[in-house]
Amino acid sequence: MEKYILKRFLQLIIVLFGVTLITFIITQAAPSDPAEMKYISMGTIPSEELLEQTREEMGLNDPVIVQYGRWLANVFHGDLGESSKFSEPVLSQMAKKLPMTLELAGVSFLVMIAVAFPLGILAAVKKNKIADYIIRVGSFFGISMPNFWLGLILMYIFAVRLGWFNVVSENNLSGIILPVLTLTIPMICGYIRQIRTAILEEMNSDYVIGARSRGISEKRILFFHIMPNAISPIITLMGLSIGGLLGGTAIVETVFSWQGIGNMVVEAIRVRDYNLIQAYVIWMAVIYVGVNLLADILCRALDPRIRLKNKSD
Amino acid sequence: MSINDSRETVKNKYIEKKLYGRKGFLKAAKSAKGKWIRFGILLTVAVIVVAAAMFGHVFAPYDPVETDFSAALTAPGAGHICGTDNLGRDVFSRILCGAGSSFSLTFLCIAIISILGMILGAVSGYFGGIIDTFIMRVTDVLLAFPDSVFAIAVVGVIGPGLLNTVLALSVIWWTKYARVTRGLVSQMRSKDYITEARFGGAGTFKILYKYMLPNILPQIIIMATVDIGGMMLTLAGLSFLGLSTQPPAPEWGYMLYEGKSYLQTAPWVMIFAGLAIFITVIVFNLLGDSLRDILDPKE
Repeated sequence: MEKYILKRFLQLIIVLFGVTLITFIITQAAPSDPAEMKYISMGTIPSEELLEQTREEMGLNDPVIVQYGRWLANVFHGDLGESSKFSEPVLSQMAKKLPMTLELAGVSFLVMIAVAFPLGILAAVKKNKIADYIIRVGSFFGISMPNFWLGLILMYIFAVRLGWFNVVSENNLSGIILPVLTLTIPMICGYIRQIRTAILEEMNSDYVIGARSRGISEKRILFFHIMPNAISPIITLMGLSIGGLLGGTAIVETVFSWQGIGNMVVEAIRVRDYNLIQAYVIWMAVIYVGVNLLADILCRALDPRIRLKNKSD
Repeated sequence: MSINDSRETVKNKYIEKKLYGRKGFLKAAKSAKGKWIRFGILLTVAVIVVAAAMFGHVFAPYDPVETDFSAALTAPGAGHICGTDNLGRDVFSRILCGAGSSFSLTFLCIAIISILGMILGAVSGYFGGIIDTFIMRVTDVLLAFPDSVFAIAVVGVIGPGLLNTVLALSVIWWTKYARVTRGLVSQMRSKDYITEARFGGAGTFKILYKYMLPNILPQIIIMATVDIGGMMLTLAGLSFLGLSTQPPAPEWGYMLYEGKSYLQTAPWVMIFAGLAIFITVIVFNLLGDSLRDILDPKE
């Protein structure tokens, strides 16, 4: 197990290295000149000599590899540069906004588990019965629903029409309800379907028929025989869902003016604040990869079959 | 042997009963013929939707970009079925005309990612070795980015625009197709008929094109059809963030973005544009599901 974790950590480092490389490449593709941007953001139009001098100072005339190395070293020190929009270090901006996004994503994740699990299990147990059809048809509509539209509709009904919530969400219990609903409804619907499939696959196994023939109650079979077997694909799916949650926050935060990093990055794009965009991508990728690593380790800890199958590693 | 046989039969009967025991109202779709009928109906609907999108501008009662300030923010009624937006443009006409660009972008994206993924996956699976390692490491790294985060970043840096959105999504979405193709190709590589084809003098290209492609294509088509809905949602999401279309040309996601500001006074702008996306995605998701039912042996 320790060996496996170590190996995965090494893989993680390689992947994160690739993540920084790709992020750097993307920023290199930017059509504008950072030296010029610097002066424009200060409100002056620089002369050609001044520009050349600044480029030299900022190291923009060095070979790309050297620039990447320097940038990477800074990133490792946690220094992602200065935000031109907020004129303060990117890191302190992130520190201010990231907790809001994590709060939104975390609450949504919990809600998702709390709703998707029971409904998915119910749909699997009541396969081809009325409850299953209702859940399946409902979840089908849910996954086809654009979440930004859902957000606007919820806002229109509950904030504008009924006046139960404020149109601009505040960071408190009633403020988080609508953003969480918007973020989770489409995802819950997707996961209900997947949980249902995962459980149904197990239900057709020989051991379930065996358990039934031995007279073990259906409830016991479901919770003590099927669930332990179905749990590892579900955990993997949950880990992957974090990607959707993190990406989805950008849209949901924009709709509800939630002051997280999703909202921040949309602002940053408008004013071409590349350092902020860079920081956003790297942080999101790190969180996503980290969560998925945890999910994989958890799967392995919970499911002896995976351990036995890959005993070599 | 006979005991095993009868045990197998009983088990199969039991499973069958479990699967199809109850007379559900969707039971027709379980038979092969029912599946094809359902697929046919859905395909017809999808073709109608696409045709409506491509020739939408012919049916549009008004010019989608013509502004008419005297009619600004008119509620849905006799003159304007879906009302007008803040500039007095007819929402219904804009939805019809915007369909063309939403659809062509989606299909363009799907075409790029499936072809790119198929080529890279086939190369990776067929040749193996260092090329394989390299391509797979690239997919590993790309999979580390949540899709929309990556797209937001790329569009954010190279600038908003329709083609930039397509580019951003294509760069990140091909990995799934590459992995599936790679798996299929490396499985097939050791099959007898491939070895025989090589003995028969077929070159690498011919083997890939003539003997492997027909086995890969059904899987890729299923994936692509299933992905249409999701791709449409992602693209609309990006333009909702103001990252793709430049006004005044109509596009569904962007219409929602504009409609958002008039949520309190003119909710119909966002309601109808969203409804258009919603219905289209439903149609394509149903189509994808039913195609998977037919072609995928697993189900």
